[in-house]
Amino acid sequence: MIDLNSTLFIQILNFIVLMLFLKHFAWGPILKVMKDRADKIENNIKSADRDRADAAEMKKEYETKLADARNRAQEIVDAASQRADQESRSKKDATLQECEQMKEQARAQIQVDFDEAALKMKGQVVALSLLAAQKLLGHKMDADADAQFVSQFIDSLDKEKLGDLSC
Amino acid sequence: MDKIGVREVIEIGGFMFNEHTIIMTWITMIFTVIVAKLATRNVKEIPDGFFQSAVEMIVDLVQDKIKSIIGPEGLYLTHYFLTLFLYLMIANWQGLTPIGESPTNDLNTTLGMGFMTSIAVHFVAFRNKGISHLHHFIEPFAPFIIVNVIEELARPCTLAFRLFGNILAGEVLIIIMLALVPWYANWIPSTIWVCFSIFVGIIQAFIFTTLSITYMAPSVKGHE
Repeated sequence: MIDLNSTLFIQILNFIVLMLFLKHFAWGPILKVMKDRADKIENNIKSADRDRADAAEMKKEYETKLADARNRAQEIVDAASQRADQESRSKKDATLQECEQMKEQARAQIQVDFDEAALKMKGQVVALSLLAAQKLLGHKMDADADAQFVSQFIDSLDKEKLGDLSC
Repeated sequence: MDKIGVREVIEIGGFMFNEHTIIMTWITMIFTVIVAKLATRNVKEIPDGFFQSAVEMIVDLVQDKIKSIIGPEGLYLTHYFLTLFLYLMIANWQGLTPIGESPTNDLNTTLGMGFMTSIAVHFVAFRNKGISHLHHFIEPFAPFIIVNVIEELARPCTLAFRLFGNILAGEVLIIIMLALVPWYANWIPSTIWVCFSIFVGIIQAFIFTTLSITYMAPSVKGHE
């Protein structure tokens, strides 16, 4: 069973031939491809790590910018709101003042109209009184003298009995 | 192989050769080359063929062992260990074919591989360390040269006998089991045993390669 002979050396020779053949024709290309792939994966991982770090940095930067922009926007909105309040308040004040003026003018106009009406009514009352007195007395009174007399009488009535008709 | 362990011997120029062993070795070499060529015929960066994937798996296995035992500096020896593993694995499987026999069931083959490894170990050691490599024979002190020489001789022998014993035993057991079981039930033990032998063939090739890498480590890294 154990018979060592020259086969042993042939086997060593066979193996060396096989190894040299495979080294040249087979293992070279496959080891090269595997090494290239390993290098590529390593580079991709490094590149991905670098990209991730860049992305994180950019995100941080954007977040800072976004926060700044938010703050600025808030400031602008606050300022606009404040300005709008101020303008609204000043417009309101102006409007109120204008209204007050208009009210004053209206009140003055009413007073003028009232005075005019009172004066007109007084004239008509005098004329009416003279007409009534003429009917009662049965003769025509002197227009100018009577008018003056009646007017004085009414004036005295105004002040003593009826009060001042002027508003 | 007509009888277990009995081989036909031819004589050429006064040298004796085991005819079957050499023929089966050549067939093994052809198969190894075919597998290697199929794997590298159309090498792609992303493998999509069975052979490229399978061989890449073996390359990874061998390179992982080299890196863990020797270190990355030993990777230049990948060619040697890769060829050794693939050659031994295919050689071990040869005996499972109906008309074949494993070249590794002949001690000439396994001892040849063992000596080949020893030669490679010392060749690498001399190339890396020069003549100072011989110093390790007298470590830790001079009388230990006897123990160290025995160890150096024992290494290829243990490699060879382990592989030879396992493969020969596997083939012997197939024959015995076939003889023990009636003809109509032959397929049951033979199928189970062939499956087991496929596994043993891989394991034995792996053990031989791993131990060779272990023996090679001091030659590349230096004796510790």
